[in-house]
Amino acid sequence: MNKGRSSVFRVSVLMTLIVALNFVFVETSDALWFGTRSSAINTFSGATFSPIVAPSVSSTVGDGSISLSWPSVTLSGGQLVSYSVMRTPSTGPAVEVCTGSNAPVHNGGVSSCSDTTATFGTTYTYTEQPLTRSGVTPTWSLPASAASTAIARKGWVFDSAGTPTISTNNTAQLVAYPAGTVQDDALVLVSVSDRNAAPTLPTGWTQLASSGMTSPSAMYFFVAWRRADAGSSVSFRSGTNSQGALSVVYRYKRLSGNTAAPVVAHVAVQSSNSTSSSTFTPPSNVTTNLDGANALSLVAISSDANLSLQTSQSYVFRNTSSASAANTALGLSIGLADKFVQSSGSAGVVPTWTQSGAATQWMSVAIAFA
Amino acid sequence: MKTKIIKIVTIAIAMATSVGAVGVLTIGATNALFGATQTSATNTFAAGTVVVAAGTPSSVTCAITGMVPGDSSTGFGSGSESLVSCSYKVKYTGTSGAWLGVDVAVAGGTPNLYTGTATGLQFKVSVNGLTAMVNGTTYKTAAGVDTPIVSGTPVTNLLINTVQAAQNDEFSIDVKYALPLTAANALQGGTSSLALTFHAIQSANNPIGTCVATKQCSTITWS
Repeated sequence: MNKGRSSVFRVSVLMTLIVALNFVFVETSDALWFGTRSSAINTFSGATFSPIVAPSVSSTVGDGSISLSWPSVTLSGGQLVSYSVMRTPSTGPAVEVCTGSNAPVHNGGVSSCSDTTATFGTTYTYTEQPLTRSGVTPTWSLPASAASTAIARKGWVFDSAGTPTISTNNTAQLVAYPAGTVQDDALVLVSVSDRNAAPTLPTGWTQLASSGMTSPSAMYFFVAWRRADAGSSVSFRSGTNSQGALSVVYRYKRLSGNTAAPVVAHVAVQSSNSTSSSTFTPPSNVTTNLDGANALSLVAISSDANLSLQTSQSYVFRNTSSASAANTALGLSIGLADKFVQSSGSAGVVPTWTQSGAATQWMSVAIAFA
Repeated sequence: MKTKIIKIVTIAIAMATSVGAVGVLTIGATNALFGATQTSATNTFAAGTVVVAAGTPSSVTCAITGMVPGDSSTGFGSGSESLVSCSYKVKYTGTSGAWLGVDVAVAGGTPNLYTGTATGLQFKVSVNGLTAMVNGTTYKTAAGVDTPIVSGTPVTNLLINTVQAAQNDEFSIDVKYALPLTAANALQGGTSSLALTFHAIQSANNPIGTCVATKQCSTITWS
């Protein structure tokens, strides 16, 4: 019996200790009640430009400015992208253009603006840099684009032709300046004769071309130019006889902001002629020696017809004058086309002329001024 | 026979003791002796609760894309203030009084929009519109020292209240943010995130010490 009581007592003590230890364990490892709740994750991401490389600027010379355009850049957040457009001259520091009311506009995925302050006679390149703005403060941006092709502003542009004048003898006649001619415009006097005889160079004019041919028939082509004086016509002896001559004065007006005087910009006059044909492609073009020059393609035919460009080669057709305007008995015509040549050097491929009449002989002159 | 009976009774006592002495011992129940019993009224013990539930109205989780310098959420105090601010709504539904705290975890990708500097993403985290417990890129330690929040290292136990929360108390943890104008180009396309963990701990037998609301509190035992 004592043995049994002792055994029971030992079990009792052991279990009591276990319970006691259990209390100690609970109290030290899991003492307090708590609850937690976690939010969803808030996310934030910065905008990105697309494309990630700024597109290059395409530049085109207009009559009064240089037009600039490039593919628009977008921001992933949909914000408006601004641009910093820089103009860099061939020598000297870059300046920002297309600002204020002249800031780039965006249409159909293309951004564009015009540079209206470029100096005549200077060659420029352009870059654009997409950026974001907060108010007027630039913030994020892409590196600026690669430089555009070099370009120069046009200082002169064809305006009009004066009234063609018909001569049937070698006495002086007045060849009218185009209406609206102002002093220091560039004037080009062109005359074609059915007689192989040189005209008399008028006072104040500079002769550029004077040549004749005899076959298949007599013909003479004469070109001179000057800075416009205060007059309204030039007294001109065409050198012709009763065969007759056709003379006309072309006006190139100085564009706003151009304070320079016109100067010859060709290395050499290119003159040529051909036997009877319906079309004519002069054998060579002028080479310019100044940036931003106007290259002129002048042709004459011994026929009363309308002249036009069959293949322009970037030339712009300007005028056709024929004897029929004054004397239907006379068969002579003059044509003018021109092209703006950005950088000094070759004026490029010559245009091909055509005419509305029967095949006939041609004479041509290519010159340039800036 | 008597010895056997005593042995059985002794074992029963021992068992009852080891279980924690639940109930009244019934020594003698197996004997047919005369006796009388008196049962007390039932003593009941109900545990309190510490529970956190969703609050009202619904939380606003931010998923902000395409941010540019100068963008900010409504109420930030600078910048565009045109973007939606984020809020986390919780309700304390426990029956026991509780201390409340919030953990703030900022993380980011490459590049990380949150730089931990004045030129990266800025946050203002406040509760029920009170003083911000995260202001820009810092929080306050218990000693009141502004301390930078490091991306990838959560800040824990920012104390919300110094008065015990009661059942059905609601809390709005508001997050406002801004990307400064001075944010570097290198942050284009950067990402960042912010997560909040709201927690409640019983206030009974859990002294708050000198902790101050909106600052980190390590006096309270939080779990």
